[in-house]
Amino acid sequence: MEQSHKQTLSILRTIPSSGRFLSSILILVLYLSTNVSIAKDGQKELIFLTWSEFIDETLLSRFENDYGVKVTRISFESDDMRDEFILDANATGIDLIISSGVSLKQYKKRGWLSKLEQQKIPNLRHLDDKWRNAFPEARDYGVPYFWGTIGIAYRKDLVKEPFTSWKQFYQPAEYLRGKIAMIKYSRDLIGMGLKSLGYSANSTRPAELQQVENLLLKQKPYVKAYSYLSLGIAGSKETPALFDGTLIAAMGYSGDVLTLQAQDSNIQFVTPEEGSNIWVDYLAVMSGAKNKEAAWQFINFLNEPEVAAQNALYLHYPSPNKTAESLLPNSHLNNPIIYPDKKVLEKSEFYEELPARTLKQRNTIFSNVVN
Amino acid sequence: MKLRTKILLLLFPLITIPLLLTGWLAYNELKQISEQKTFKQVNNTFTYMKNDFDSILNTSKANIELFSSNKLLQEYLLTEDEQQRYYLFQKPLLAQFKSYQDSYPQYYEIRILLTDGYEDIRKANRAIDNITEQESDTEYFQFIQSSAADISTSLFKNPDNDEFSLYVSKRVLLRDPIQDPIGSEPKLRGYLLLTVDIKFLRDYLYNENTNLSSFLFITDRHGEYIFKSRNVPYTEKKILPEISEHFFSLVNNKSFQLIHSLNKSFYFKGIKLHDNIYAFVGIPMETFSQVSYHLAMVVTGITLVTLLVTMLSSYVVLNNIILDPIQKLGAATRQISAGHYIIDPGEVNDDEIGELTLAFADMGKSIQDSSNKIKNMAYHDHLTGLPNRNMFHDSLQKLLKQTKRNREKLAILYLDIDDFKHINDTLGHQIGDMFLKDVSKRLSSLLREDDYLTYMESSTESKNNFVARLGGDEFIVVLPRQTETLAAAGVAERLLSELSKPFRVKNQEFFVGASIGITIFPNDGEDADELIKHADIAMYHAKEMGKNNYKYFSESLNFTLKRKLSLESNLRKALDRNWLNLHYQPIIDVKTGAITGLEALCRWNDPELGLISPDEFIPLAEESGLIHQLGQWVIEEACRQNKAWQDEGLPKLPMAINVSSIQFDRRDLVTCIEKALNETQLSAQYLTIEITESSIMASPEKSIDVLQKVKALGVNISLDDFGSGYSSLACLRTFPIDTLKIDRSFAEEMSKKSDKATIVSAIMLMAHTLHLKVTAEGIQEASQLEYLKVHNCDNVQGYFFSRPLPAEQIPQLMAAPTLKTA
Repeated sequence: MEQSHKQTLSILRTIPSSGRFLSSILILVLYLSTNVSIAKDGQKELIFLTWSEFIDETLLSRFENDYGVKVTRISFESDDMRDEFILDANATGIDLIISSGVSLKQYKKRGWLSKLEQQKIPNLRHLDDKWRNAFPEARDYGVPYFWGTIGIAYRKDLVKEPFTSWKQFYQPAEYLRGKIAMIKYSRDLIGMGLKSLGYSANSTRPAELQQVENLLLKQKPYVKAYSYLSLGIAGSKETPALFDGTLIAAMGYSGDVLTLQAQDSNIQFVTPEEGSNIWVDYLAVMSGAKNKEAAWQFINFLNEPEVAAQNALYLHYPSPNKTAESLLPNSHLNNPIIYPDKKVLEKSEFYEELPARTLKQRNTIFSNVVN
Repeated sequence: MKLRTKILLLLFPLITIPLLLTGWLAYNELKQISEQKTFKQVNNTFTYMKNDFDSILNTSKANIELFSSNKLLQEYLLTEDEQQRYYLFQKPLLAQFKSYQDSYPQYYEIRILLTDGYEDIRKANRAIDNITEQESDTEYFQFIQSSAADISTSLFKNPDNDEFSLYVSKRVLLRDPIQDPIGSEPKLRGYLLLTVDIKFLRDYLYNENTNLSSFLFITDRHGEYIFKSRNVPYTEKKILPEISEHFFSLVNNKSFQLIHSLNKSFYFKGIKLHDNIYAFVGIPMETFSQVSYHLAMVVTGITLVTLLVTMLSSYVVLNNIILDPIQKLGAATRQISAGHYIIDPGEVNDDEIGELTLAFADMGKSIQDSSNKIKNMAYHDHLTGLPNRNMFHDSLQKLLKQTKRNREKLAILYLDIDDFKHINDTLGHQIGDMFLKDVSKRLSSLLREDDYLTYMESSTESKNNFVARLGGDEFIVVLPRQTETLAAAGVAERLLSELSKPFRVKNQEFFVGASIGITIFPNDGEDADELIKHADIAMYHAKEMGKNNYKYFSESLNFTLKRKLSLESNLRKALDRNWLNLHYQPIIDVKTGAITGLEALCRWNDPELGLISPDEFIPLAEESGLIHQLGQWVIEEACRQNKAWQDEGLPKLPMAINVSSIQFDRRDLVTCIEKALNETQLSAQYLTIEITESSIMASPEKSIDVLQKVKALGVNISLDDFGSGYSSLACLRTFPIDTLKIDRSFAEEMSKKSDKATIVSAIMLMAHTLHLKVTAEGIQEASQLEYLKVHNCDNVQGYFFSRPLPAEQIPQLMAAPTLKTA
């Protein structure tokens, strides 16, 4: 099976997100947490909330065999959806999560996270401090898993001119009407919009945000869907919209697009010239976890340099694991999509914590645009 | 006052009074019913409105209860950390609110206000600017705060969009399961607020009672308008004092109240929908008087119709007995005074009026007799008794109208005696007058003037010519119903020849001439004056050309006429003086190339007019009747020449001559041929007559008879110009024909592969099956000959072989063995 990360379960991809939808997921989670924790053969079970297929499956089986732990994954479509998901589940029944750096603080505040038991994760020493310290709560509560950027995936055979900037994407040319897809995550949606106007992705200025709202409302007729671009196998039933030309361009995470590109060489990716967001995904253990030991074991396993390298190679993402990086081939290390140009990186930002009123304004904008 | 009017006036009150009385009673009854119906309708409307409003209110109350128990919402309110609340809960809660609005779009704002009045979350489903987030000072927030019940409902103007809306709010009281001690009272965390659209009430403004001029408006408790139906006569923001002083009695009393406002009277009634919303209906008094107006119209209508019917029937009865006969008598009297004296009394009743009518008729007759005498004096020229200028003018105008209507022509001949002045000067006026009388007699007798008199008296359309005297020596002759413009020339000639006979007055004998100008209507003028003027001009022209002459006003007619006349007279001369001669064209056998016959063709070379085409002189000969003489000459000359050649020892060949259809129509064609054969001693087998298909098809039965007689003489018969007419080969079977001559128009097509060529081959095929020989005419090219050979044509004729030649060249031609057919 082809790998793909930050990708959604097909069920999440096809059903639009709504309150009702969330509650049906809640039922699913409750079902999993009550039934599966009783587990077959008294085997231990690790409930892992993660982007779908954000791991090399072979590594997963290896861990399951070596440690005698069954890993059950629950997938989400966007960072926003993960928040709502944990909320709906009341933060129970989940052992391990993949969290964005910026969410860690709120999760911690809410008391959902366990502090790292560093002695149980000796492999922490392989990790680059730059990523461990990228967010204030990261050092104590999360272990960096991967990092990356956001950019534009597009069909180079269908565009009239190649994409180089967010501006081309947020103020699209007429032929793109109904032909683009946006990530349904308020930080990405609004943040990259701010970048396209030359503002900081972390802007707190109401006037700048107002401009972005107008921009997004104007862009709306060009947007086919507010959902993460579908990945998958060409020719399969779920042929992604980029493959069949239903979409010409979509917001995407760098490694995912490489996965797509391997299947269709017409798919191109660009980290726009205005800069991007540098996201870091952390592994974090929930405070209500039933199987913390297994969680630490799993984190440590994933940071075995050879394991981390295999995973990075498979998923096309830069690894925060320094030792693992030294094991990776040049084809990986020199790929400009995996490791973007310094200039672009200099213009790119981490998402920062925002003041309450800014959050409120952004929520309203997001609701007005997407709902 | 007329008798009729008097009688009808008597009938009038008898009909109208009872009808109007009934109408008035019905009106009162209807007015009451209409009032009751209207009031009932208004009450119904109020009931529906109230029910609708209550239903929305109750649903909203139930919903807000439901919404406030939502777990997400409760958790949201329990999260005191603003940032966390917004970061984690707000987006899903907004989505939740959105899903509420999808089901209840009338909740156009769903909000949560915190206890201090801060608007913490707001989802609006329409674009409304959020003016303020701090709502603590607003009227409705204070109302909500002070309200005793947890759920409160009220109507306020929304400061964000200035629209009156229903506010449904609920205090959300929660106990924090973690922080608050067990058993403690739940604390007020905030207010959930629905802003409900009440525009649905507007439907009532437009749906109800639109046929009446009633109007509806909705106000708040201060009487400020929220909604108004379009026909509300008030333009102010608030209801007027005269209404507001009755505000509560209108709402509380069951009956309608009559209020005087804007100089009109209105029935008013109100209803309280909610604490701060009231609906009122106003009905102008005139609405009911409008109903009564309709009724009045109906009653009036019925009255008028009844009146009309009654009066018409009485009128008919009255007419038959008295009025009609009296009226007839009156009409007769008026007719007599208008100059129509002959009255047809018709059937008269056997009463006094009848007798009177008959007496009138008698009187009319005797007036008529004396009137005729007077009229003759007024409309006729006293000297000649002919119509005078006035009468002529009147009747010409009538005739012109009639001519125009029938799309015919009319000719006017303006006649002036040449040198009449000389007669007057030398012989005296008395003799001059007598001479004019003679002239008019001669003209009249020529034109049968009696018919003209008939025309004058009965106004039926005249078909007849008439003459009038315009004065002095000028006469006018009118010739209506002309089909041929040159026919007038014939009349002119007859008039001139009639006047050229000697006159004898008082033993004086003298000769005069006259000049005539002719105009044709409508060619030469549109009205009488113009026609007369132009005729006058033409007449002077005739005088200039040497008098005793006539001229058309139109030059082209003069020319055509001249040419025609000179041709005709020269043709006569030509016949007399042998200016005509015959040319001969050989007919060739296709197979052998030998000459098998000759066709004689008439030529006229006039010493004055030059060579004249048969196309021109044959029709002329036919028209003038000279054709018989011409035809006879041709037959005799052809026979004579043929016999002469035979006697010279040339080969004996049949000679073809053309017979005109007019000649053919005459019974004497056979005797004519017989005579020629006898005189020349030519054997009949050497004569062929050519007749066109059109001339035999005009009267086929008669033609068969004539042709059989000709055939009996032993003469050959050839059908000329075949194919140009419409006869079918099949019907030729019945005629005793020997040869078909295919029309020259086919010759041109033969070399092409056209339809006509196909027809030619078909004709030849069928002709052979009917045992007819075929001769093709007009052959000019070798390719045509080729075609004919292939299709077995028997004989050919045309310039390709030889043009028609004068007689002296024929012997030479016949001496040559063959002509070029090989």
